[in-house]
Amino acid sequence: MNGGENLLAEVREVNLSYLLLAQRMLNEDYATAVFRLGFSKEVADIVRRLTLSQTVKLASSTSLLCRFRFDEGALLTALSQDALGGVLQQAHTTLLLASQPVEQIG
Amino acid sequence: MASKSVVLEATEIRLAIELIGLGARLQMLEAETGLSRERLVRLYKEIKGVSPPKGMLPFSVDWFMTWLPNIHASLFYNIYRFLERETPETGVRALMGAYRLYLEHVESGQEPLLSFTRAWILVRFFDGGMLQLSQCQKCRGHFVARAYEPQANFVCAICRPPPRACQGRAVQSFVQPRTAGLRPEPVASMA
Repeated sequence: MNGGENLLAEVREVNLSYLLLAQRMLNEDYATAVFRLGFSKEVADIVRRLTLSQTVKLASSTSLLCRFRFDEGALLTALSQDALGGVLQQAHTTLLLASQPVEQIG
Repeated sequence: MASKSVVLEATEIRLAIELIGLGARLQMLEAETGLSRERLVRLYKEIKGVSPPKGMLPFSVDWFMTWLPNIHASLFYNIYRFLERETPETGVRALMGAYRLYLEHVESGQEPLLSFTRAWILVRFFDGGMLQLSQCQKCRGHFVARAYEPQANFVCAICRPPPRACQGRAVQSFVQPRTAGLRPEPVASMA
């Protein structure tokens, strides 16, 4: 078994799961999904309208399609430090993600 | 009100039912729907089984400035602002959506620290220019603050909790983290 090939297959699998999950979420409750995914309206509409074959094609990339949403060091530091034993961490994470810029095109 | 559209009225009743379900007080229902007070009182009784609470709304900016309420209010308002800015939901719809997302952070069965009516008042305070969001210099998050308060050295209530912050109260007011990947155990249905 080739370890590298295995990893790439997993990347594709994550891509496909990600796109399918995003589509399901968007179809179920659009606004809530946009919030959870951190999409802009444009990205959300394109992802929602992808056909199955387009989705599969897009997912077959060997680079991950979803991005890490904390791209500021300060943010990550704030979250990983435990204030009050970490009881506020989940709320803090949501709060910070909500004020982050959304995934944009262009 | 004789010539009111039946469809419009049905839409407003549906909205009122949703609002009551989330815990809206009568004053909020009156402001957000075009239904008469009398109808709203009847609707409220039918849904909740009790008369709507009387009295004034908790109308004070100070409450939002205290430590734990400030965290809850900031969490809610950040979500609300996101929905208003990035989704087609606006106004009372965004308010409901944001409040439902906020409730995910409250332990089920617990009374949420930020009530739905309070959340509504919070948004009105912002609209009225009485409150602002200040950016924390440590975590870069935005938190509810009094309007025109200097922001230069602002550090938020999470990054710098007050010395006598009660951890127990904070624990009780927020849902505790579940390990990623594990499904929460099914909870007995709530009343």
